[in-house]
Formats: sequence, structure tokens, C-alpha cells
Amino acid sequence: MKALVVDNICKNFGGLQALNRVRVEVEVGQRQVIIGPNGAGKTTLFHIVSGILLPTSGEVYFFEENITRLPIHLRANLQLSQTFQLVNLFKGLTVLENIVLALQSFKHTKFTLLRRLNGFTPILHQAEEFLKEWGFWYKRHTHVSNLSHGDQRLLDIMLALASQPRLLLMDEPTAGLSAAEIQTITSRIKNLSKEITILFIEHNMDVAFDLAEKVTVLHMGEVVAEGTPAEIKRDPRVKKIYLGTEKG
Amino acid sequence: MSFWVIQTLNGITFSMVLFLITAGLTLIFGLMRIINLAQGCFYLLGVLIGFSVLQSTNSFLLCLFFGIIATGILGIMLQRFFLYRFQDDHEGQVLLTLGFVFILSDLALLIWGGEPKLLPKPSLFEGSIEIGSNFFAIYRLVMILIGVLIALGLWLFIGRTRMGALIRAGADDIEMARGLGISIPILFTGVFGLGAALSSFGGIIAGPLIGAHPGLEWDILLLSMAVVLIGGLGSLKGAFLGSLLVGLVDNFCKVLIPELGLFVIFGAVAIVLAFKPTGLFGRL
Amino acid sequence: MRRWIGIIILILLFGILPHVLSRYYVILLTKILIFAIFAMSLDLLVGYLKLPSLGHGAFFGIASYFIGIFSTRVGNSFWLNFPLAIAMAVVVAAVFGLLVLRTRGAYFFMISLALSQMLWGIAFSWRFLTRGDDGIPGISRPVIGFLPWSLQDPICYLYFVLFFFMVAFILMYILVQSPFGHTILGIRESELRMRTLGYNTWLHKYIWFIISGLFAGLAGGLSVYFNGFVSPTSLSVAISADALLMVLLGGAGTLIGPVIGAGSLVLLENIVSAYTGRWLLVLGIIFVLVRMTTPYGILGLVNRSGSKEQRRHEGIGG
Repeated sequence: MKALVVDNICKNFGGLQALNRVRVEVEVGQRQVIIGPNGAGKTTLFHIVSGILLPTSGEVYFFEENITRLPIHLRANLQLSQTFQLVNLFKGLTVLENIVLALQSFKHTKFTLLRRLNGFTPILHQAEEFLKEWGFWYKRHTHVSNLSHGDQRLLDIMLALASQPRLLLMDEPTAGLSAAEIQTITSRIKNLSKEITILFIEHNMDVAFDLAEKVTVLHMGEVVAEGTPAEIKRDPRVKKIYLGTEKG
Repeated sequence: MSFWVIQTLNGITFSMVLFLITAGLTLIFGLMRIINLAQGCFYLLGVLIGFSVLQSTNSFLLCLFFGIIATGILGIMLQRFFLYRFQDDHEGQVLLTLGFVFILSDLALLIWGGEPKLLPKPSLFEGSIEIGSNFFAIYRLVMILIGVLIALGLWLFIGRTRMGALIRAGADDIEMARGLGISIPILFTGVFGLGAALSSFGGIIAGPLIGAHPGLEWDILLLSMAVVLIGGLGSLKGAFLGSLLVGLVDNFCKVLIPELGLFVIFGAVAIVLAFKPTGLFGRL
Repeated sequence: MRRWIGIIILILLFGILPHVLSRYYVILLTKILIFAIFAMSLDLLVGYLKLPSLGHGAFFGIASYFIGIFSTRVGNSFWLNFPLAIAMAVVVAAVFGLLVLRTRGAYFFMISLALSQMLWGIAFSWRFLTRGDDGIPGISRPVIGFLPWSLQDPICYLYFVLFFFMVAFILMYILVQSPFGHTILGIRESELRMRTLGYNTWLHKYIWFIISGLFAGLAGGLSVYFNGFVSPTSLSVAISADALLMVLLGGAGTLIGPVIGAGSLVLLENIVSAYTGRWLLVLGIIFVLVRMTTPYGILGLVNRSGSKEQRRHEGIGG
């Protein structure tokens, strides 16, 4: 069984063909990266997998379940998580409050109306453990808007991990980070359990080839190459696509 | 038979008035993403200013002229000095326009008093034509004609002129427009003034039929909202078709089932929204 | 701690003042409390869900009309009419919620206005049921058997309303601090993120919307017994706009803000109306001024920084 199968997905926006018969397969436990120049359709593809967009045609299978038309929150309930290109956190809330929201989502207690959240020790304990594991405990009362960009990206990943996903989608997890911050994030990602399958988009080639076992190259809405990082580095077609930009 | 023709024409007459107001709403929303709740006030002020001008000059043309100019300037000032401060806070701007409604409507009451007023028809267009066994006022035909002309004019203006292109650019992507060197402040202020002027124009044209009375600013605003909800915010085409629909429904209801007028109109709104939350031609 | 002292002071205030001040002020105080409940219920939508509604009067008015119609035509049983009136508000909220919650921002604003106008139109035109513009007079205050005093007495009715105000306030406070309330905050901050985290955000919004309508109905019920009269005004844009102004004036998203806003607005209206007939003009000017200077309302001013973080409730662990 594969973790994710994107089967002949096409997406049209009016006259613009964003994705054309894209086929991607991700094995369970694999670390796979999607690279490609701007406008290749990478984020569009992600949105179709996570449910933010519906495809014009084609199917998406998540652990052999057809999720093509499933609403976003139901996909998340199947343990499909994602982080966003532009950090999407609860800016007006604290770190602790963010984590609690992520943790509480699969508990029926989220519907509790008449008891104070402060009294819900199981969730707060879980949050404490989680935050301590990631070194955020001492920052728990910091408002997200006051966190550094690197911390925000980390928190973004933490929120996505709170539900113990089977598949984690990360859209440019290191965008806008300093070298030191990138180091922190990549080592965290490397340490993630193999029970989590990871599919991510990256523009930073070093990070992409460092983290990924398999590389899929998207260009103008089509898959043009696939292989191990070494194979892709040598691939002349890929070099041609990236000619004029940084090293491929 | 002629009864239906007359009523249809009556409905279309009102539709044209509605279109003038909602065209303004549409332009303002399309560009600035705000709902100008004071649009009904501009309508009302147009009639009232026109009424005063007419009383002193007896010239319908002058009353049109001054009414539109005065309201346009008022709109420009309101936008320039108050709304523009809240450039990116759309909710804040809408709420500001709510404040304007209270201020303007009470000022109108203060200056012109609470008695309902009707403008006299321009003498050129008095009289009626015969349709079947009924009569239809020539002035109403003129109103329909004017409405269609304005619709065409707006269509050409927005679609074919450079200014219209600027407005469309701003409506599509404000950042891009800024980057292209388009002066956003002038564009916003201008369009808001245009919207106000269109509304007051509608008010004056409809002056001999509807006139002005306290509360009109809400009545006409609500109908305009029904129009844009059905036709879709930000679409002139939607505003035109929506106006036709609402104008006709409103008129036929008044004639056939006067108790249920508003209910039917907003019921229609609810139905359209149930299927297409952004209206028939809407684009958020 | 400070908060509890403040509450005790208020209670003492309500215990002493009504017996000292004239009947006029007792009535004013009652009106403030009724509108405070109404404004708080709207704050649930405006402040906690960022759904600015100009149609909240629908729930207020429907409860008023229910009692008006039933108590004059069927029977004046408080224990039947009052709960049913609130239930009616809940039903209307449930129906409106289905139509309205698929939209946001500008569309939501207009649709909520449109729907409540629809109800207004029915109240205005269906003379057989509602007597249209004339309204329904002669609605007498409930007779509650076990109370030793009559609700006809203004002070008694004040305490009656005060009781419900405290219940409403405490309930809404608990709701806001609950896990569900926390979820609502999350939805307000980023609905998309909530959905990708697995929340059925529509369902949460729907329930919250209905709760908001419930409390608005409570206010409407208290209001109609207070006035002894109901007319289409109870369903109108005017009353919805009043509530919205109260929320924004006092400070949205704080529960206490709307109470302050209600008090301020009712008091202002009484003072201004004594001097001039131009209350609406003054209201509009105040509104514009407040919006221009401190968008976070009076409470925002008090909190000085007025930043979102301080404006909202305690949060977790705080």
C-alpha cells in the first residue's frame, strides 16, 4: 500500500492549465520532495491533496482510500497534516493556546461548552510534554506574533504533528529562514519518526537533496523527472529547466 | 393584456433607478471592497438638493446638475477625509459608512423636514401614451431610456476607456495597480464620488415618481442590497440583471400581493444564496 | 480578585441605588441591562467570530413578537411563553445560520441584514397576525406565583432582569472560556488552519451562531414585557444597528465591552434626547469619532495598548 497516490490529476483555472495529468506516488515512510521552478504547480498540487482545491479531473488516494472529494477537515481526521508556504498560525494567541487547539481537535472535549479550558488537565499535560520535547515550554505564553520567523516555522510543523499524522505535507518549510534556523529545522525533520510519511516542497536545493530520498520534478504543471537526489542532480533535463537560476 | 405590459414597463422603470444606485455600489465594492451603506443617503440627498434647486430655479436640468455635483463632492470628501484613513480595514470602513448614514439622514431631516416630497415632472415629458386600454407616462419611458443609456455608457466607460481600465486593474489586483504607478488615492476617491453621483442621479430622475421621505435611505439601500446579493457583488452585469429582477418583482408584488413584497424579494435572495453564495455573477 | 470586588460593588450598587433614585432611573437601568444582554449576544458573533451582523434584531424581535402574539391571543402564561419565545429565536437562528454561515465579511453583513429585513417585512405587512405598523399593545408583565412582589413594580422588574442578566453574563463567560470557545477563537484567527487541523469549522460556527441567537431572544423576551408593547421596530435595522454600535463602542470580543457600550449608549440617548431631537445625528458623530480614534472601543482605551492580545479574555494558563 502506498501512502499517497496522485492519479492523473488535472487542474484548470479558467483558461490556465495548472496541472496536467500529474501522477505522483509516495511510499509509506518515505521522504519525498517536489521541486520545480516558480509556477510549476507545486502548491496547487498540495492544495488538491489537502482538499483546499478540487481537481478538474483525476483522483487522489490516501492509504488506498479515495479522498479526491473529501472535505478538508475529514482528510485531517484521516491523519493527513500540512504546513503552509506562508506561515499560517493563530497569530493573536499564545504558543500554548496554539498547541492546545491542535491537540484538542480530535477530542470530543472540543465541544464542551460549560467547563473552563484551564481545568482540562489531560490536554494541558499533553501540551506540556509536546512543548518540552520541542524546547518551546519556556515560550508557552509568548504570542505567536512575537516569535522569530524560525520559531514560527517550527511551531507550524508542531501544529501539524500534534495529530500524529500518517502523511505530513510541508510547503517550503525553510522559506525565509537563516542558515542556523534551517539547520534546526532540518535536523528536527530528520528526527521525525518513520511512521510519518513526508512529502514536501522545497526551493532550497541543499535542503531538498539533504532530506529527500526521492525527488519529483514538476515543470509547467507536468512531472518531468523522478528519481533519487543523485539521479536528479545528474539529469540534463532538470539542469535545463533550472538554467539561469541557482545550481540544480 | 395591456395591464401586464404596463406593469412590466413600470417594473423596468424602477429597475433602472435601482441600477443607478447599485452600479455605484458595485463600482465602489469592486475597487475598494467595501459596502457603502450611505449609498441610500446619497440617493436621498440627490432628491432633496434637487428639490431645493428646483424651487428656486424651476429648471430640471439645473437641479440634475447641482444635485449630482453636490452629492459627488460630498462623497469625495467623505472618502478622502474619513474612509481613506482605514485603507486596508474594510470592516472599519463599512462601519464608518454606517455612521455616515445616521449623520446624513438626520441632517437631511433637519434641513428639509420630514414631509414626503415629490419632484415635479419636467414639462417636456409630461403626458402619456396609450397602450391598449391603458395609459403609460412618457416620463417613465424616458427613465427607462436614460437607464439603458447609462448602463451602456458605464459598460463602455469601464470596458473601453483608459480610466475604465485603471478601475478594472485596481479591482483585479490593487497591489499590481500600485506597482504600475496608478495613483490609488485619486482612483479610490474618484470612484467613490462617481458612485455617489450615480446614486443621486437615480434619485433625481426618480424624483417625480418616488420623491423623498424619511426612511427612504434605508428602504432603497435594502433593495439595492437585494440586487447585489442576487446579481453578485462587484459585477455590473449582475447589478443590471439583478435590478431588472428585483424591480419587476417589487412592482408586481406591490400590485398583486402588497403584503408580501419584501418577503418575496428577500425570499428570492435567500434562494439564490442557497445555491450560489456569491450571487449569480459574483466574484469576491 | 479585582474582578470579584468589582462585581460585589455592582451588586451593592444595584441593591442600594434603585431604592434611592427616582423611578425614571430604575427604568433606565432596566433598559440598560436588557440591551446589555442583547449586545453581549451580538459580541459572540462580532467579537469572537468576527462576523459583523446587522441582522441580530431578528432573534430579538421574533422572541418579542412571539410573546406579544401569544400573550394577547392565546394566554399569558409566563412559564410557557417565555421559554417558547426563546426557542423561537433559536429556531430562527438555526434557519438563518444555514443560509448565512457559508459567507464571510461583506456578504455576511449584507445577508444578515437582508434576512432580518425579510422578517421585518412580514411583521410590517402581515397585519392579521402582527397588526403591522401599529404594533401589539397591552402585553402585561408575567405573574410569577412564588414571588412575593408584583413584576409591575419597576424595582421588582429591575431585579427580575438583573437576575437574567447575571445568568446570561456568567453563562456567556463560561462559554467563552470553554474548549468550545477556544475553538471559536481559533476559527476567528484562521479558519483554514482549523480545518486543516481537523475541525468541522462550519458546525462550530453554526452552534455558536445559535447560542448567540438564544441570548438575543432572551433579551427580546425581557424587552417586550418591559415595554408592554411590540412593533416592527423590534425587528428593524435600527435595533440591530444599535446593538452593533454598543458592541463596537464598548469594545468587541470582551463581553464586558458590550455591557459598557449598552450603558453608555442608553445613557447618552437619554441625556441628548432631553436637549435636542437630533439624537441620531449625535449618535452618528459619536460613532464616527470612536471609530476614527479608537477602533477597539472604550475598553480598548482603558487598556491603553489596545492590542489584540490584551483586548481578549484571559486565555489559558494566564
